[in-house]
Amino acid sequence: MCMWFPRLACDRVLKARPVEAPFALTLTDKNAERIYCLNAQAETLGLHRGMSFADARAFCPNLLSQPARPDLDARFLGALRRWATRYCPWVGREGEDGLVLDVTGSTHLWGGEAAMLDDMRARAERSGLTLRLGLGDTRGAAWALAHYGQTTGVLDALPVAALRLEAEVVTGLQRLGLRSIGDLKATARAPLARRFGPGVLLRLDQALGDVPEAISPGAEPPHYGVRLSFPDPIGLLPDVMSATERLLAPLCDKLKAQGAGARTLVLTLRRVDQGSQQVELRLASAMRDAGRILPLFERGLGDIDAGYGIDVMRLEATVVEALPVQQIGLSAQVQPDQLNDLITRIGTRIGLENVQRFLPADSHIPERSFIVAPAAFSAAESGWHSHRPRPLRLFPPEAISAEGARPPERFRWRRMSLTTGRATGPERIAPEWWLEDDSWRSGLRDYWKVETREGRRLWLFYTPQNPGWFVQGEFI
Amino acid sequence: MSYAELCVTSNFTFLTGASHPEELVLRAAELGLSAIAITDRNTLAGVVRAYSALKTLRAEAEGDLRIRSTHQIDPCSRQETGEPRDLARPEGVVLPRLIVGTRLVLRDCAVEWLALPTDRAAYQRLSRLLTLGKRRAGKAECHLDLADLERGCQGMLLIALPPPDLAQARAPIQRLVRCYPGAVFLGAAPRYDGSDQGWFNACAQLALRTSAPMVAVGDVLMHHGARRQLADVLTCLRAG
Repeated sequence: MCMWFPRLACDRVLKARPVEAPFALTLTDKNAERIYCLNAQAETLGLHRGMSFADARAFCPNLLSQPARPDLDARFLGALRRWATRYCPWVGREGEDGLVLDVTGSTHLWGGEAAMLDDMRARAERSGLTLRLGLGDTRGAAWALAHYGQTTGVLDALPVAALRLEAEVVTGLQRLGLRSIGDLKATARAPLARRFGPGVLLRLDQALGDVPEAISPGAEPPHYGVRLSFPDPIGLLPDVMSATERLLAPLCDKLKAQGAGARTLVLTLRRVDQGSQQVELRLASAMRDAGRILPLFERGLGDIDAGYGIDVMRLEATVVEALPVQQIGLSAQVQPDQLNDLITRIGTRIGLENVQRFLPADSHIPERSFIVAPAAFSAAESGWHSHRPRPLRLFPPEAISAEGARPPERFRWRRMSLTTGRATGPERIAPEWWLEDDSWRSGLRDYWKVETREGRRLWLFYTPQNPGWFVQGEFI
Repeated sequence: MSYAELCVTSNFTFLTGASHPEELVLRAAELGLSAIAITDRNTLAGVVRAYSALKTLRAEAEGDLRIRSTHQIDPCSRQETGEPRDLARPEGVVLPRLIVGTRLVLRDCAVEWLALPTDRAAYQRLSRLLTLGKRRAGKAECHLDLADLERGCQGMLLIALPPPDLAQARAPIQRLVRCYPGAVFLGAAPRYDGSDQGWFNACAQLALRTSAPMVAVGDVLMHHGARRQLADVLTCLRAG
């Protein structure tokens, strides 16, 4: 059977905010505002879909309007599709504003076809939806009856447009005097196919049941959520932990079946006094190993106030990533997993974004030779190459008073008096002139590694173009 | 102490040098170098321009002649872009001597050689050597081997520019020292990579072992620091 919502878009909008006046939804098409959908009052005034909005306002000055949102309409139709599964399990979409149901074998559950249709009409009317129904032996027949007929009946008297044909084919058939489906059935098939192509005959056969037409029901996206309710409320931490463990097992099985891993888990605990608390666990990498996830919940659950006790627990994976099954080799790589667990554990305390790692960057300028990235959202790289010594600590250049191109014998830095023991260099680094960088305006830098007699090993540089000495780093 | 620059790459080395020979000669005069050798890769082409620039410079020092490099020339199109600018002309300037030379890059040897002929006959031999190499190869290439140098470099001063791996340099230097005793030197150019002290020490040791005395060279690519951007772009083009 077929359910048609002729004013789906309007009904959706007016459901939230009803108006007692002509109402239209407009859509901008080729720089012109055109009417997308109308309510019943506006239709009685003679407006129709596709006419320009300016014309409609001329006909009907008190027309209320709103821009249309086809994406929301599609979502609304998806919700209706889910609702329609109450009548039968096999429900598909039919165009932009219809549903098609295979009710074979499920009508008796509603007390027969008529009772079921009444139920559908009553529910649609209660929720303010215009609904037209068609019940036929085939998908095509149901569509024809919903759009052009009276729910049930025979097709012969219906116009040819009820066969889901294109507008020009319909006009062509009407020119030949073939106005109804009955006329079309009586005509010889071969000349029809020659003149209008095989489409007409295919639609006719589909409507009459000579050619099968399947209904493809929409697939539900997998839902990663499990819940557990207790006959008696629980309140002790070990109890909650073991309940979490019991919740994790089916969730992880579900994730494994879909080849996915959880990135964010939300555990909702509902107390007997209806209050609810949430524990959010964000993982550094996609995971579906219950044994590893469980200890990470420990800290979050420690802060939970159980009150009079918890009677429902619900665990949901809100962010899910693909995690294909991996072959475990002889040299199983345990290292990254342990690091990710550590990142997650620290991240639960200080926030996952605050755990960062250094990544190499392609520049010979010391300040730009690395970037800092959140550890949970980047992979470690092994591209660290350093042919030249680089200090472990790097700070913004600190000026010292010295002269000449050779490192000074004695200098003061951070209120310390230092004596140069051995100086290695110079390593000349030229500024990246294709980038604007204020700190490199002084031009070339000659870097020296200076070992002081006081024990500090510093990284000094001299700027020959604007003479001056600076300390930029310290080797440890 | 006066210094002579013996390793200068002008823009006659394709996509490497960033300055014209005229500019290099003028800069050498400004800096008061005692001599400058224009040594382009497997060619003598830059020497001519340097020589004519030096000639104009000399005439200018005597009279009131303006040499080309005082014109503001766009380095790309070589068109004049503005009024000629007079350079400050110090009194009693000593013009550098121009040394004819070339930088020989060989097929079978990692060491590059600066060949500086000392007389007319040596210049002829060097020209012949380059002709031989260019006839062997296609356009813009020159195929020379160490054996060619062993045969036809009489009367030239040869300065070896060793690769970063000094171990490869020893055998070829020894071969040429055997052929031309007293005429082979080891050029040590600073690399400014922070390990110059170690590099010079290693060069000195190599010089001692091969009995090829060390010579200071600068490996010049541009006449002024302002050309660095052009040199960087050329390097990008060359390296792809």
